[in-house]
Amino acid sequence: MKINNRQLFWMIMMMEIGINLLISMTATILYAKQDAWISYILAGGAGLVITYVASKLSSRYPRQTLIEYSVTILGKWGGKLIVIPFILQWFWVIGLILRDEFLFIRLSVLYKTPAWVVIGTMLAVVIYTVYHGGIEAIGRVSELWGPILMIILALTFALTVNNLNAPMLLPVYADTGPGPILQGALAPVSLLGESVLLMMLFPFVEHPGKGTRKAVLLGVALSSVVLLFGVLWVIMTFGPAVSGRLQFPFFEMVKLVYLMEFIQNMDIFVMAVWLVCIFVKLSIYMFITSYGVAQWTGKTGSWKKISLIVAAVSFILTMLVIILNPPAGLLLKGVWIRYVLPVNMIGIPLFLWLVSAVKANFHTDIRR
Amino acid sequence: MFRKISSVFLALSLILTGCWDRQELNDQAIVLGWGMDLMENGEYLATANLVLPLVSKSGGQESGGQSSTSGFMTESAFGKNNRDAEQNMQRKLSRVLFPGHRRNIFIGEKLAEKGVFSIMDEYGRSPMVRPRSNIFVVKGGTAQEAMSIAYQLEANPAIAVQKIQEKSGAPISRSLLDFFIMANGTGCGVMPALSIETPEVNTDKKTPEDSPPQTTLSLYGAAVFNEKLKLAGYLNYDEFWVRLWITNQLAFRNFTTIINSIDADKPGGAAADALSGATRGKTVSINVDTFKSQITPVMTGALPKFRILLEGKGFIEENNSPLNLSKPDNVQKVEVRMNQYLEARIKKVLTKVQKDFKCDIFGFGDTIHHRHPYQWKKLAADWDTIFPDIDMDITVKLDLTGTGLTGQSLLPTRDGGEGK
Repeated sequence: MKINNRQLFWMIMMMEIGINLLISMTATILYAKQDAWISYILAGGAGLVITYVASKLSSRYPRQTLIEYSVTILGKWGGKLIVIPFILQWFWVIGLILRDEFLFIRLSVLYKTPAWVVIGTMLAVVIYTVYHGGIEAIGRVSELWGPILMIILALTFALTVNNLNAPMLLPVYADTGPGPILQGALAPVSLLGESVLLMMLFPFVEHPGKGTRKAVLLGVALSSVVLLFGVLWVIMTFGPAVSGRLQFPFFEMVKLVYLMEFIQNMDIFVMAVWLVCIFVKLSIYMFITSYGVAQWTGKTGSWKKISLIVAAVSFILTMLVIILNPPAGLLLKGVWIRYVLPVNMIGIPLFLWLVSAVKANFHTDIRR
Repeated sequence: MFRKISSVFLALSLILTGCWDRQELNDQAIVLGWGMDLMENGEYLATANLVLPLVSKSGGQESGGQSSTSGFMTESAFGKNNRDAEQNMQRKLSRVLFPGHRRNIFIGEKLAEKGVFSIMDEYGRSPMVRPRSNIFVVKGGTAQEAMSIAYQLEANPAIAVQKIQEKSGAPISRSLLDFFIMANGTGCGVMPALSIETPEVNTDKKTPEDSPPQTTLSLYGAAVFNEKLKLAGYLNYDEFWVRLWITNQLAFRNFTTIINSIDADKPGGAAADALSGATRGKTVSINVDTFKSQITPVMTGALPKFRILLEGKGFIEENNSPLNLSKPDNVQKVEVRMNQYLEARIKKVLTKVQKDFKCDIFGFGDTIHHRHPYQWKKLAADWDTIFPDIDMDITVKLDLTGTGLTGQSLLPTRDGGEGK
């Protein structure tokens, strides 16, 4: 089970772009209005810093996952305890993504299909991949689909260019100011920051090291650029007021493709690609959750069996989320931005890095 | 074990997923147009324009004479809003209404006067429909009347109006989206307006094969909505292009002006001549196909002013004036006269919009917002009271790139011309 740097790069790309294009945009534009693109640039920068910290930390222990090296750094009890937020986040995120997928699919294509079928089929494909292929299969799928995704996105941007109205981006900065722009950046940062899960993927890379760090950083940077283009396109198409009210503005923008009467209804391509992105993202999360839980309980060998349990649990969790139907804002703002971003993406990695660095210095001091 | 279970599950899911949403084409009534009217008693009347599947299948093969069947059917129902009426309409239909191809939405004049706020929400909310729709106001009539007319050139009147609009140089398939964007901007909105026209001169049908002009749908111009989304008034066909040009949306248009005699037509001559409105004058027509507009807000003084520079490129298509167009001087004269004519025309429309509608449908407020955002914060609240009194300085700069296939006319003599 090995992946190479290029596969890791595409995995990060697929994971970051798909859901971010769909769900983070409205929240950002609502705060930052026509300056949402500044928010996205800030978010990209912050995402890179988060990724850098996580990869620096991981390259200190290139043969261990987060679950293992947290024990190495903090000792048995501390190490086991500090990764609990991560395990919770992973379960939570699987439920969240599946719910978003279900909502979107139901709104756009399948109006009457019951929830368990939409979720069940996706979970079945994901668990099949994870169980049989593990991380290697996910890496190869990403490598295959990543470039196709980029081509379709480029086509989308090209075909909607005639709808653009550049003055919609004006005035720059005057309407918003630093507060709203920063607030707008939170949603994309919290999704870009998901690259911290590379702390779990690091040991699966063939030659973990500088090249890996570069691939991951490049993945985050490029996906930020794509997202930046996406938000610019959306604002120039709909204006800040309308795009802040649309639930999926990017998708609505694709629906506008209309060229010479016969090139239209492009949305189905974008939907297909988006589903592949969701699939990759879910598979990655499913894999690291299964593997992480297995390592956490000390039964690394039986991670495949655990993956079945994880699938069952996340199925129940998603159904619960759908039945209870908490508002979408609560999920993204209330949990993701308030807890996951500061704790899992910034707090814990920085803390581990600090302790590990201090310890290393301490050791070298003693040896001297 | 797992492999078996998962393969069964996969197979099941492949077979089952589509089932819940299976909607055979035979079970769908494809909605091409949708109309809403307000009745006297406050109820809404919805009208749907449906594709007739049986006719369109054998469309071209019908032989002998005009076929009396049309390719569409119209159905209507009362209701409290769009969806309610749709449900009531379903009572009469053997197929499920499918609005996924709904390209045009008609609004009756009564409803537009009372305000479109109560019905427009569905057009943006329903996931079944596309944002790429056109929306029209039916001037002096109801949506139902307009949608019932069998338009002869197209299978369906709902498609016809959209094509007419496109052929008038207006942007296609986005008047709904533009309306949403505008209503979120300075608050006013514009929709294309239709009217039902009877033939100019009635001609009798002598044999069954004759095809005299019939009552038909036509593009009237644009309907202007105020901040309450109520109809404020109309711009007619010869006025609505002004807005399109100023907002950079006009694709092409012909302009005709009158040039009475050479001596009177020194560059800078009286524009009133050109606007005299005489129909038997000596006319020149130009075909302009490239339009550009540049609005510059001037923020000196208490009130903002606007400098509007409108540019266009075109060529002379018709010349019934005495001017010999093989001389560059005379082309210059046409250019100057045309600029004067257009400036006066545009000025008139701007004044009408400012004084009668009191509604900024040109996006002037937006240009201040874009260029001078901090001043705009002070102006924004009172913009609707400031706008009617604002000075506009209009400059039209046409660039005549040619005189068509001939310079001098192919006709040898010209009335009042420069001689041979």
